[in-house]
Amino acid sequence: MPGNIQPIIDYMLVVLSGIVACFIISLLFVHLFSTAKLKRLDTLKKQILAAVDQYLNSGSSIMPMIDHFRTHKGLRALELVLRQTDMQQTKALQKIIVYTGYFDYMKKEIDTDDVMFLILLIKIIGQLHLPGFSKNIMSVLLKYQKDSDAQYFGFLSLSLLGDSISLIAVLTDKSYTPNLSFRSLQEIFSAFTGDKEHLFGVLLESATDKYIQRTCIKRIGAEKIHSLVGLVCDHLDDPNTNMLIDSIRTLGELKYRPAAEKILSLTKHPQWEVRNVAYTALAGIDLNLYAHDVAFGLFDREWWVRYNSATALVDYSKISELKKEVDFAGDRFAIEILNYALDRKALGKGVTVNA
Amino acid sequence: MREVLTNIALMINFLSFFYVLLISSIYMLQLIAASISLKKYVKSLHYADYTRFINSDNMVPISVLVPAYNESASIIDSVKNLLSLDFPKYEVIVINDGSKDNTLELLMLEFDLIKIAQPFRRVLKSGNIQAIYRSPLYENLVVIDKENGGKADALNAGINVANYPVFVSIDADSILEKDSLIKIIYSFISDPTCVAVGGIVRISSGCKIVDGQLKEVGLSRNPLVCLQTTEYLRAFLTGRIGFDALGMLLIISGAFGAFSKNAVVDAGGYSKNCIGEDMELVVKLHKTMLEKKKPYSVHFIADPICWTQPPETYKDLKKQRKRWHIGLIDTLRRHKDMVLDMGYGRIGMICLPYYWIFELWGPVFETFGYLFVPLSWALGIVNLRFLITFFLVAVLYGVVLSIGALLLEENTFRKYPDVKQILTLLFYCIIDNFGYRQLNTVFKVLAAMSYRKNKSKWGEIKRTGFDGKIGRKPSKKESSAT
Repeated sequence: MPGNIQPIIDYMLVVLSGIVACFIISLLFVHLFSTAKLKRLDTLKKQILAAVDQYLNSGSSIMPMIDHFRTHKGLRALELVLRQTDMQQTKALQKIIVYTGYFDYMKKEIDTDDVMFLILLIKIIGQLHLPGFSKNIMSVLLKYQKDSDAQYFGFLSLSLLGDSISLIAVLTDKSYTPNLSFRSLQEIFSAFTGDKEHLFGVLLESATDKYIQRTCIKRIGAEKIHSLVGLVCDHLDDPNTNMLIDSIRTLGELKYRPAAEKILSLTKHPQWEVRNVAYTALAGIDLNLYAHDVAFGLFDREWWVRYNSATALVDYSKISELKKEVDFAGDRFAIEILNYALDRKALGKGVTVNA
Repeated sequence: MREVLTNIALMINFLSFFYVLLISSIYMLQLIAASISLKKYVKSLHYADYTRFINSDNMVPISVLVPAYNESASIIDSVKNLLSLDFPKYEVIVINDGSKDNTLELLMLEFDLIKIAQPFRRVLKSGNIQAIYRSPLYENLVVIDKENGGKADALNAGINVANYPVFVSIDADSILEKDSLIKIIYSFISDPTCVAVGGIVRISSGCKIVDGQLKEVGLSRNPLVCLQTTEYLRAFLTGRIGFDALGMLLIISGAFGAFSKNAVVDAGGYSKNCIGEDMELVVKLHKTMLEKKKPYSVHFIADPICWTQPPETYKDLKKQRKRWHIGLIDTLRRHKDMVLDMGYGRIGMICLPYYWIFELWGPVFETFGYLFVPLSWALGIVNLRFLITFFLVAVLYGVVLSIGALLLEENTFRKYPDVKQILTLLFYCIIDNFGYRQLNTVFKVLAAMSYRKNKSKWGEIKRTGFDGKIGRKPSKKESSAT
């Protein structure tokens, strides 16, 4: 039998030896090439920064030429520079790109089929707030619907550009299905530089996807857009539990007193997630007024409701008296969770606690 | 009789050759898949936007779980490292699993720990928690003191106390890079179906670590450690990425992995008395999600790095490798019902059978080959040429894979940019196939033989601190406090 397989072994020996030799040569070549590539990128970065400094130091009178950056490597260097520039330098870079015609190079490159390079380009467009690319970005969003990176950076760029028209056009298009996580959407909307009231107002009513609407509701609370509180209240009867939860939370963040009675009724909701956020929202609206209502959360059967109610109560002005009432009620779990919340607060202030 | 023995020996030689060919081809396939996947991943780093999320309220908050048993040598540096990471919202939960040394005392002195009555949800079974401590200096540090129950039990206790929807498990003798957390957790943002992500584990020996921070990457002078460095590169950059690219990742290293808390609780948490708890959890996650027909993903990313201390002596290496192999056997046996079950897709039909045949029985076949081929030559059944060429083919396949992994490393992350380091690693890539790999194979066979006796024993491995010293005494600050 060895006679049958010996030729195979000999052949494999030759092939494998050849592969080892190729790999060793490739390793040394890659090492040298990578070192050179990194040095080149570093040089390009320094040149871009020098161009920016020249522009700023001249009081914006000298427009440095950056034609030699019209390469893919140049764009990479540009993106690396943007990670470390401050606002003034970024604005200067924007002016240099627009006025020196580098802009035209980017316009040409945005028609590329290399989706990864396209994403890099779109990211730079957003960071530099370069005008005139919205149509290109929209077509990327519609063409690469399954590529989550293309979607994220496309939307982020439109957001950074403050382009509500394009955002609304895509997000209200029935043929378009967003492929973004909830947190990515929130990050995108938090980066929006345009009229947020207008954007969230339109999307809350017309967006095709519930995730988009939920994100709008969350941002309304985070950005304290009081003028849209009416639209949020409309969702207090929403059959979708997640929409309901986000609406309650937002109304708590906006301290919207007229919704308090409705929210109070929701503290009896069969789902603990709704009760949880309802207690926290009441505390947010007016802790001194609703402290005793929030205290009912300490006796809830669900751990998270007890925990969040306790955390919400620690800043109550008459907490010592409330604590006595809770102690008197005799519920071990309620006493335990409130004590813990108060101990944590005390610990943060450097006060010794008794475990 | 001689003829019968000759035929048996020839058959075994043939099967050994066939096995070498098959397993090496599988590894080559992994190497190719890993190359394609890494190329795409590295290109995506040109635009990856982690820094945006470092200060963002939209980043998912996480709990970092650090099970600790007799980790006095490195626990302070490790916790200091974890408390200084670039991440917007996280808590560090150290679980002291009944240490017999002064691990807890060191923590209490260094971080001014105060005992606190912290209620928690007992969603997973775990051993008795004796006390919970918090620090007035570090609001996000929690230390759990519990009775000894093993790593799996400690992690379950940590999950019970954890406040956040994602947790990261990390070994107490490990150091993370500043952006490791943000990189590994980003998967949960970009992919909402993600339930588990593994990061890469690299060898910290030889690196310059000051106050729990990695300052400079280096190579150890200990040949055994260098051999492990190349081995880890091969295992992570080809094996893990290769399996991830094929959608069949079964192992996320216990030293550095991130998990969805809900998904882990649904799967029943870590299994107690299971030494290979890291692999077993991932298998359980696959099993639970496939049975519930929920969309999910398990990833490996080579970019977020955890630097860890390897065994520095052959005795400790043997303990570690035996433990790993016993863990593998244990996991495979616990989930043997999944094998060749179409309901578990690629995991049941391809991945688990692969592990049974090549990772579990493979060392046995290999050892047989090492014994029978020379025996065949001694008996005059095969000639010397066959013996030498057969051995060389087996070795060269290993060399190709090791250098292939080093080539991937050099073409992507370049953590060893100095040419002397590359040449040193190249040297070890070649020589690790002349004895070191074979030694590991023998350890695995010994582990299989002693499986029943050792299946719940961890053993103790000598730890040194990141400064190379074994054990730790309280510092001046700590001494004055007492």
